[in-house]
Amino acid sequence: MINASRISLEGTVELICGLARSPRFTITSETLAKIEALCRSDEEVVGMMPQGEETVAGYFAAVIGCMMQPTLHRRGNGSLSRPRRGQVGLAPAEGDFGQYHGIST
Amino acid sequence: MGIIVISRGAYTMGKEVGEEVARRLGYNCLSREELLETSGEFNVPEVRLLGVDPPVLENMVYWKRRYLSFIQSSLFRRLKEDNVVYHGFSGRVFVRDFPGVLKVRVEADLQDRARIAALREGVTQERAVGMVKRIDENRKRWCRQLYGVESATVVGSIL
Repeated sequence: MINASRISLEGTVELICGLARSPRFTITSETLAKIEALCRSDEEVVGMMPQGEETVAGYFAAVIGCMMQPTLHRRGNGSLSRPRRGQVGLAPAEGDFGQYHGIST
Repeated sequence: MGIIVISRGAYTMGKEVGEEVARRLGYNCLSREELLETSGEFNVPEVRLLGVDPPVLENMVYWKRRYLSFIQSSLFRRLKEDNVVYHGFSGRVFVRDFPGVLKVRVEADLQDRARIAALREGVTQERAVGMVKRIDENRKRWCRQLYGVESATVVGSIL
């Protein structure tokens, strides 16, 4: 279920398209909880993408992007982003994205 | 194969989301209204359906069975065409046991929905809140009565 009040129309569309493009898209409840907690804080969040994992990065960016808008600072799919001062970095954890187990965070 | 079924609450922008998703993915877009357009007796606006009192519906077992058969077979025929986004009230009910279908429910907060309702229907925000609540209540009863499920049953995560 997507709450369109918490995500912009654009974000909602992006999320559904992201999900549709990958049948393997999964995200653990722990990561979701982390994202939700960050949504409630005033921190600026950067989605951190493991280098070379373009596919993972895209989906993760979609999730984070949808939930964090408009505070997201997206660095482009597949690039390794590092949070600047005053920002919090969030990377995919083990178990996120199905077959991509063991991603180093 | 790509099938996306978007179940939407009233005034949640679910229609707009469905249409935009279809456009971006290059899928065919199908709404409940289009599905029933050529159905004659079943082509009843949702609002009118929602106004029907469930006890009355209960006495309409025959109509109910035919309505369900019609909408289900029409939907499946269209879904077989592949790469389809279907959006409508309780769409997920018909595909709940289908693997490989992306089922999404789009909701929104009451005040946001009322704001959209007020704009579209030209009523005050206060009246719109009451209107949205009434529609939700009717939908719940309709869903329970017709499909045997709660209208806002959440499966999976809330984003």
